[in-house]
Amino acid sequence: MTKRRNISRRKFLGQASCAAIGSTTFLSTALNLGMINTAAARPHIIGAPSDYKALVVILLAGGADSHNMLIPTTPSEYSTYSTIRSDLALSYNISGTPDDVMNITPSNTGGRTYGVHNGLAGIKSLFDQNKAAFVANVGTLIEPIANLNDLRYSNKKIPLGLYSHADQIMQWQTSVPDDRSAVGVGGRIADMLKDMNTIDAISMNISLDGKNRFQSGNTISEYSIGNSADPEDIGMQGLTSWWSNSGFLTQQRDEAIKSVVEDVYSNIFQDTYADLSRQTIAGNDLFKTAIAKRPGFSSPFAPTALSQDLRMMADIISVQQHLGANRQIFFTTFGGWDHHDEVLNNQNRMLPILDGAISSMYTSLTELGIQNDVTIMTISDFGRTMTTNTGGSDHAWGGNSIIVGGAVNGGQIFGEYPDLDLANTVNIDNRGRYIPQLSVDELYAEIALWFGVAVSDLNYILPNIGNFNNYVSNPAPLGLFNV
Amino acid sequence: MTITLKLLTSIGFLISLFSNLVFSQEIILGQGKNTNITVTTSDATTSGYPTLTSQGYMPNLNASSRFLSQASFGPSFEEINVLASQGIENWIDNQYNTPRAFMIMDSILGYNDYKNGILNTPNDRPYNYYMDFAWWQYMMTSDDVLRQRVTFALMEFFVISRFSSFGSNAYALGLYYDMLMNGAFTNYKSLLDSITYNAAMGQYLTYINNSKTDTIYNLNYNTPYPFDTISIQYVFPDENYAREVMQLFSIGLCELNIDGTCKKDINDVDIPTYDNEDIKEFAKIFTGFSYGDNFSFGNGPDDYELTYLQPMQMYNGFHESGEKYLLNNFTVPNREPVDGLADVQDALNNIFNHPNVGIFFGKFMIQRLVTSNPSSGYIERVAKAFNGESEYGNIRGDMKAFLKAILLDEEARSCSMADNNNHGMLREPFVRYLQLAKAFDLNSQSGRHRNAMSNVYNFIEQKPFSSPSVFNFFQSDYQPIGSIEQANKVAPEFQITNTQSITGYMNGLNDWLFGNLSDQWALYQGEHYTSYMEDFSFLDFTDELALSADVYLPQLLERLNLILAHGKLSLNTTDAIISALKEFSHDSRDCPTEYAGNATEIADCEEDKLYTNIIRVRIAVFLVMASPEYLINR
Repeated sequence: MTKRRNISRRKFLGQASCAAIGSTTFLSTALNLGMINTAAARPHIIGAPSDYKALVVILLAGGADSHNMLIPTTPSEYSTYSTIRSDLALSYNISGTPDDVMNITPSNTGGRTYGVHNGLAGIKSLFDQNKAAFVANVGTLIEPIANLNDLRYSNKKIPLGLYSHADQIMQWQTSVPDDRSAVGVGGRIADMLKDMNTIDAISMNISLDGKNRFQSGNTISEYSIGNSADPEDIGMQGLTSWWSNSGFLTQQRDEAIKSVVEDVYSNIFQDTYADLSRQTIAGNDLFKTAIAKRPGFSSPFAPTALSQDLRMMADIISVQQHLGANRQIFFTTFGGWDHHDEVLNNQNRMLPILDGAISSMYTSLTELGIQNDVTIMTISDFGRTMTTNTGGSDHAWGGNSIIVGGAVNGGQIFGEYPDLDLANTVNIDNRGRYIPQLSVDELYAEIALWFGVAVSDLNYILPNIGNFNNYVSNPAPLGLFNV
Repeated sequence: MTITLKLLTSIGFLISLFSNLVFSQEIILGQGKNTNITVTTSDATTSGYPTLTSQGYMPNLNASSRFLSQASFGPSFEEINVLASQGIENWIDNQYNTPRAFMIMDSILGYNDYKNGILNTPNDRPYNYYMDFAWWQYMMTSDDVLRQRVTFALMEFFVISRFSSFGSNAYALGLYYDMLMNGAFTNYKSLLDSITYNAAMGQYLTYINNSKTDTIYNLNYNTPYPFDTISIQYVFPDENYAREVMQLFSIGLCELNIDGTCKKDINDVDIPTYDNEDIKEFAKIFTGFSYGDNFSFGNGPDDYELTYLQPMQMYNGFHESGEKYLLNNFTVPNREPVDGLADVQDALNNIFNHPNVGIFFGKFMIQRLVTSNPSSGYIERVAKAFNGESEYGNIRGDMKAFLKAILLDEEARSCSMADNNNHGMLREPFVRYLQLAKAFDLNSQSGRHRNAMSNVYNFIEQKPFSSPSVFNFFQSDYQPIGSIEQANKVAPEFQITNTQSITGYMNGLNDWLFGNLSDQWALYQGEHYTSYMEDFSFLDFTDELALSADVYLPQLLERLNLILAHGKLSLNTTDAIISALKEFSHDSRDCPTEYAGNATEIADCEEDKLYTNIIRVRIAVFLVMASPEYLINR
């Protein structure tokens, strides 16, 4: 190898070789906007120290068959359910002999009775204590659609890509069913409220499932972590030692990386990557310090990934003051609900995992005395067809959500569980697809208001909310919260 | 300084470095091997002149490296030189003519035979990670690098995943990958056919054992004839494949203009390609398939593993009869007797002939190989090549013509385009990992490789067959916030880029460079590592090590810049890396004076010093691969 070069040649090569001449390297890094994101603590604190709230969103990816999570048990309704669900029907014996369903007695359903899947024993218990509620036949809507005639003949706007995973899972996160938006509800809430937190380096939005639309805002993106709270597992691992000096190489590497990612990049991809790298480095440093102070919990969490995700959230909530956080939105995904087949066996396996994770988290929040300031909710792509394709069900629209927390008006079913008869006017076709009678917007609206969003900002969080209700004159049409 | 360099060769494309030529002078590049090249510089005295007169790296080495970053998993120094002497179109034609080195399935069977021979378990099946071993062996040792890269992209289009009922089955995954590799240079329609009849796809998108519309009366036989009905069961065709074959594998959600934009109705709303009624019609098409090895519809396979080696079979008795109304007013006739496979062919042809396919698939493949935001002209040229309307061929769906249109397009090749601030794409994490292995010639004494790829997945959440859903690791329209969104552009790979994955990637680099790049698992329980030590693989940094002394660091960075980043590293970045490397010099440590006269101590000390140079090279590679200029391929 014969290469004799001097610095001036090298400089030239950097420019002449089809290279990044556009990425000017001499500008002051102080000009770099991204640095603002990673600035250290700000002095002012908005809100009293005790004013803490957190929202936990669990995405049941794939479209959970939620008509087998919450089941009608009024005799005539159960009979309809059983006939239409056919081989997918859970057994229910009013006499109390062993079956697939546990009774609950919601206080607001006018005598209609319901049951929950046996796999949801913890949720049932929280429901009985008025700490959990269901939201029934909720789905993506641009504007209210009263019934099939309304859908067919009233020229109502219909969500893009109805029944499609990619679109519906996105719209449940963005609540903008008339657009393929990259910005989600949690992201827009954080856009509005981010000044309530005193440290910018850790986002208000913390993801246990990487990048997601729910937490992407116009001015904010999520801080994404794994579910190990061991500081050794957070951030960049150290390099090998050199001449018995264990931290030396790591320090050289880290300084070089900082220098590189703090450069100014005019290519939009490089700029975005550098920005993310800076956020990563600053966030990891701060987070390590904070999480090391976690007290831990006496109540156990199961070794499932979901339980461990929720344990990590509880650990983070326990050190929120060290993160300067007065508001936090947590997100994770529990996938594998696209049960075109084997829905019964799969739900028997998966619902206890969901149930255990939520129950353990609620218990831990109680240990921290913060259970009234944290709300946990499930969302999913869509409900599924009430009819069977033998063993499984297909993509549909309205479904049921679970909402848990001390601030929730528990023991109730919000929204109206549909009459499952295929002749019901909210049913679309012979597969049993129900037009949601409650919009995702209406669900998120009361959550956002509880979380601290001003009524005047609700239009920013939920652009279509005006189609459903005027929250100035009627701030809580559902009454989800008791505070 | 302004320079214009034009390559007006038989290759038929144009490289334009910078515009505004002032002064013209003709020189020959590449020792005269390339004819008809005109180079003009604004000023023959600028420092640009020596490079253009090939006193240093020839510009076409960087251009070669850049091309190989699109058409392969990335080059070694030697491969860059081969391409530079061969020319791009010749290279592509050679790749088209390079046969498969071996079948991944054969390698899986080989591992299994070996294991069963040792353990005397002639009927046992392969472990699932034999698939990963075989896949990795192929990528590390085979010359058909274009096929490898294209297949990896096809795998992200026609997605199946090990997160499924067949995920632990090496046969199912191995056959599927072989099928895509075999089809990579054939025709899109053959690919669509083969994935549709594939049993793993049938499982993954749930149309295996999918029956026609039916009503089942459950009768109470304890009542008098004709029996009371207990319940009525309605059965409908599964809609899963009907939807995804259109949404993801062919035409997408909206009717497309040839330039890739959605067609609009009079209210300026996107025109959808299909509605749910269409889905229901297609769902009828994909009824009647069951396992290739079973004897009756609706039952499981005769052999839960071997069944994946054969396509599904059609049971006409369970295929929906009657007319089906498909796209663009095409009607599948009411065939008597029912002929399910003929119906399926009608439907696949109906999809294949939809004008969207070349546009939708074309944009996807451009995004995987070249740039996230191709211009409307680029999409149009590629779509026309798919449609059989280009200089590269006249057969609709011809993959060879299609791929040439993608890789030879001015927008892929032009240097001025590469310097456009909106051009480029984030390299996929797994492609970076493969690139590291290939750039530094991962090799073992035996020439055999083992890699279960479990570690790499833990770091970057990507490896073959590990998409979380049929929607791939990321979606084509993903927009990260910041300058990409402000420019109204997309960057699919950023969907899996976050604080967690950036950290994971850095920790992965640490592991791959200072620990083991491969997960070298035993082939069977009880196999001692000493029996396969000659399969252990190592990165080869011999050439780089020769440049690790202080005085050669600029050359080291130049070499890494060429191999990994085709010259895109900024001066700030190379300076920052060189400064860091100079902090731990081989020469800055002297062996203690008391070692004098003790040959062993001196030798150990010198070895330690040598190790400093090894660390230098590896940290240099680490830092290059952590830089935004490397990570963004443009």
